Amino acid sequence: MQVKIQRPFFQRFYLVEIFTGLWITIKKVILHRTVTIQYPEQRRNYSERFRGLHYIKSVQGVENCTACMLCPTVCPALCIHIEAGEKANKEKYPVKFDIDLLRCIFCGMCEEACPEDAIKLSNIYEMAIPKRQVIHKEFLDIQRGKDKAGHIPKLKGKGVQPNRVDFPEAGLKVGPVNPRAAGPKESY
Amino acid sequence: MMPFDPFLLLPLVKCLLILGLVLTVVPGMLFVERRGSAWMQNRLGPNRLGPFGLIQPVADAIKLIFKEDFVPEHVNKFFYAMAPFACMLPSLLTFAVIPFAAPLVLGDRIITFQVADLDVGVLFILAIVSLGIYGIMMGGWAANSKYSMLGALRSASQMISYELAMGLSLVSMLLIYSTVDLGQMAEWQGRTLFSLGPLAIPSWGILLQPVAFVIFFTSTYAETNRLPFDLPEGESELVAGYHLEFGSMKFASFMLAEYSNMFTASGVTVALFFGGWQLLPGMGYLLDLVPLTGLGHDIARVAFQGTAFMIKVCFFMWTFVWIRWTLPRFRYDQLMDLGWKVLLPLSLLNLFVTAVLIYGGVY
Repeated sequence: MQVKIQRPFFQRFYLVEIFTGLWITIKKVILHRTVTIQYPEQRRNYSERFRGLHYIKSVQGVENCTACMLCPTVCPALCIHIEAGEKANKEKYPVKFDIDLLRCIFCGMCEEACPEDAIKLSNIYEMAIPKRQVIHKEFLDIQRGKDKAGHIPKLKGKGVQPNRVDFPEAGLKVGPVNPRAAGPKESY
Repeated sequence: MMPFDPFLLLPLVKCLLILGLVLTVVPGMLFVERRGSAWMQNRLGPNRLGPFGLIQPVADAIKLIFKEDFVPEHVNKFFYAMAPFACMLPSLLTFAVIPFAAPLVLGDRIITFQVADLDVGVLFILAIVSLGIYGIMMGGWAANSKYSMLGALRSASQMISYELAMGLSLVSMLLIYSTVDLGQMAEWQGRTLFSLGPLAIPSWGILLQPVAFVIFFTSTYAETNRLPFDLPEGESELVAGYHLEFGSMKFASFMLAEYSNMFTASGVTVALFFGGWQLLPGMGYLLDLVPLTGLGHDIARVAFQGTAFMIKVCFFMWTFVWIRWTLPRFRYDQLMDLGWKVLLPLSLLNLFVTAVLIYGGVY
């Protein structure tokens, strides 16, 4: 079936429509606005509920984790591996706390299951690594400042630190929070 | 022995100046195209190299020069090597006859501001422009790939179809100017068409022949293979068309040809329809303010005229970018329809009406 579209007179006359189009594009040039975030310099402000890289909360240098094994139990991706140990005061603590970030699906169920408010998800989202290995193997070592393998890329340079709302407790260095200079105001 | 005449060097200087100008405009144009298109699409465009990304064309050029000059097995080696130059040469040649300022009288000599003050003027442009098609055909044929071949075929038929309309619209201009010399045309356009109080409206070609302008303008887009008529390289169906199999500097030569063609097309459009080197409104007052007399004033005049010409040309260069990122590509049958069924009869009609009007003494 042939569909015949009746267009108004000026639309059939091609030139007028061309000028309408040209006006639209030149308007874009004059009122130049972009939504681009210039990534390394500008970062998107994610919500505080964003689920990124894990950390073990510590209060006055003592990690909250008691190696109760609830998080590896609840973990649907089976990515948490804990080796429990005993402190001098008979308290249980994790000797090793490995999280296989390639397996982790960042569902946040470990955070919900934790009775001690120990394992938490930060809003660090830069976890890219050059090699496909079990990353974040010495999870606690990194946090305890003994990351010799350097599995997690160090965030260096000016304005590189992402917005870490609750990270001071984690014992990691907190850089200056860099509010985004441009782009939409609401967080994602 | 005759004493050495420094004026003998003048054509050489002019050659180098014009060539340098054309070759400088190309990277600038690439930058404007990339940034302009980005801005039209709410993007940023290349902004990393240098202030505002101004060094980007240099980086592009360095990359293209140092890239491996790879020649595929299945090509016709001779024509494959020749095609980029056959494409580039006419595009660089055409600018030779376009005047960018009125002649300067220096004692008993007249210095014209065009490389070659040919008597054939416009006809030279038409002749050289139609040579450009050989480069494209050669490229498409030598590459021995079906995409290239189709692109070259399209290009050939497109350029031939639109050359007719373009030539006919030019003929109506020639009837009015009664000369083919571009310098005289520009001078002719300095006449006052009519006066609006203190404002003198010059008799620029576009005011005398708006229809011819529209036809000519449309045809230049088809001749330079730019959108909305870029069927020879239509990415979505032909990958890259006639320069698909070319790499490194050979590809760059094709791009160079395209962009210098745009520059020349803008130059011709300005020379024919926008008063050539005639000053823009307001520039005449500024020129009168220059506290110089005699030769100094003449040189200032030349500088002003050159600036006016370049401003006009830059506007049309921008129009090339502007239209490219506004209009979608024509379908092939629509392109042929427009060329043969609309533009050709229209230009014939325009020519007829112009002739009648001239016979009736209106122009």
